[in-house]
Amino acid sequence: MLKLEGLNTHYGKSHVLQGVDLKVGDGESVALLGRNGVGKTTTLRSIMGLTPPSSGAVTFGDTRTDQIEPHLIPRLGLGYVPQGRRIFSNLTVFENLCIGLNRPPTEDELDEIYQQFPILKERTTQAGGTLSGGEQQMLAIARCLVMKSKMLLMDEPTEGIMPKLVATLRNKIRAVNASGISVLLVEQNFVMALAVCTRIYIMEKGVICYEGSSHDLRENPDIAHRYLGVAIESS
Amino acid sequence: MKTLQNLEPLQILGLIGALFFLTAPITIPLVANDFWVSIVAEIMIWGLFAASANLLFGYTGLLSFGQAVYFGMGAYGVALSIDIFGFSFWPAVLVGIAVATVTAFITGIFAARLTWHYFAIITVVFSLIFFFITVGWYDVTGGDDGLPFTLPPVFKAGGFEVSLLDLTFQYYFILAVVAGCFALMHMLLKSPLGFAFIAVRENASRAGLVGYNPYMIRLVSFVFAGFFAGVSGVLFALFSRSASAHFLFWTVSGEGVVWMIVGGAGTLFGPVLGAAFLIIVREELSLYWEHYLLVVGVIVILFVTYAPQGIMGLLKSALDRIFKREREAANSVPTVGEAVAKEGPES
Repeated sequence: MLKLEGLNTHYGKSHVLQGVDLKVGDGESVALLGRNGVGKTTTLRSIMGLTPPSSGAVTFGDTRTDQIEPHLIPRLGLGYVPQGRRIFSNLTVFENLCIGLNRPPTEDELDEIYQQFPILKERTTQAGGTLSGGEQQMLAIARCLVMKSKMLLMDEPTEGIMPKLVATLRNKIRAVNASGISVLLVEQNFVMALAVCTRIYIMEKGVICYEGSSHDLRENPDIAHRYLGVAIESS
Repeated sequence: MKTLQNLEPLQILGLIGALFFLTAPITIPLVANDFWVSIVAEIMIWGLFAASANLLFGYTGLLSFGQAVYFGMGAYGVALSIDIFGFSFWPAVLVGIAVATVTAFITGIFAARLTWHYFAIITVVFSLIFFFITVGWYDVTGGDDGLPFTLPPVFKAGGFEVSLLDLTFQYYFILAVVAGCFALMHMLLKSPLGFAFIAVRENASRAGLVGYNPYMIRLVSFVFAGFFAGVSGVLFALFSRSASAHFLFWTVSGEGVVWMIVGGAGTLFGPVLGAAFLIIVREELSLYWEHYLLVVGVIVILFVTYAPQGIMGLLKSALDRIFKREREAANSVPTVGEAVAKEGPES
């Protein structure tokens, strides 16, 4: 479904992504892990065309997304939940859901969303900026779902979220994935990534240095310790 | 359907405002000079003009000093259609609106690529270009002297004729057109396209992440703003029976911006309030002091510094405070002392 081949991205003279190869299949949930500043967010930004790659290819379905305008990429079914939620704070919950649809959502579409995220129904006329961090995160995911995204790119969804909401959010992301939507999750929260995703990529200094299943990573705690500095027992 | 009791305080004020505009030609002569009916009509026209600047700045985040171009194009579209081409009323009105909208589209192709001060500068430049063309093309436009024309009837059948020369009809004609424009603007702003304007204002690249092309959204907003400015220009030409190059100068756009800011940017009716307040200040002060603009300047500085949300923001917070207090009073359980004072001691 999503394929990155030899992706190189620069910020000025700084060579951030150095030949990244990555694949996410239909309905798959994949995590991209790594320490701060290794290029995880840049990978997602390059996929979405926000930081265009200097070479390499990004293919979503049959389309080379690195060759089209960034605003056309979400229309292909690639939903992006950026770091820090990034909903439109002056628009209400309902208006945030309308955004990107070019029409008001139908009753059925709203029911589907509200079933998955009941809290949003209670907040429907509330300004997005007044929601809690976890609610904003759910709204950002819901916005992608209402647009019928086939795949979600999520950048650290648990960052700054109350610990008791992390489990809720984890279950929501699992449910989204179970409904057939692929997920590419960038996370610092190692436990969350292992709980949600079946396959893991680890990144170091702009290069993918490890690829394997969540199961393998659990079985080899030294890998997590070497690349991420976390002890697997802590999970 | 909302009943009167269910209305928010601001909606009740809106209803009172609507009632005032609907009855002004009857009520104003009872308490003031007839001249004020014309001032109210002028306020509606300039309010629509300021609202066009508000659509760009308040909703899409683009500060335009070029709305006078489309105002002037609307005015000249009508004036030239009637004076040179001999068009009747409605075709001339349509030409005026079309010329303004097409001009907004053509200039918008360039302007919508820019944001912030670059956008503001290019709109000033457009204003200057069109102003100097209009001044220089004196034979056709009448330059700064203006191009007066004779009003054709709005409707004519046999011996029956309706014309804007009837000042009451003119007032209601302006009211109907301005109200129609505000209804259209309201629908636009409550549609997904209106939400997209706000999304682009908040963060253009974030709007791109939900599939909007920020350039196209800015262009669409620019064209709509040009359309509304054009309609106000058409109305002003019909109201003053002339068009003048003066109305294309960027300072006219600046006035629109000032009315919008004083009234409350990002609110539908704020610009009308701003226009009303400052036009009334102008009319009253100019009788006594030729440098009345100094006072206007001080008012603007005070608003920008202490009430950046404008008159609308002040009204809203005042009403919220009053009604919240009333609601709290209604919901509160009386203290023993209050109950005793009201009911008398239990026997």
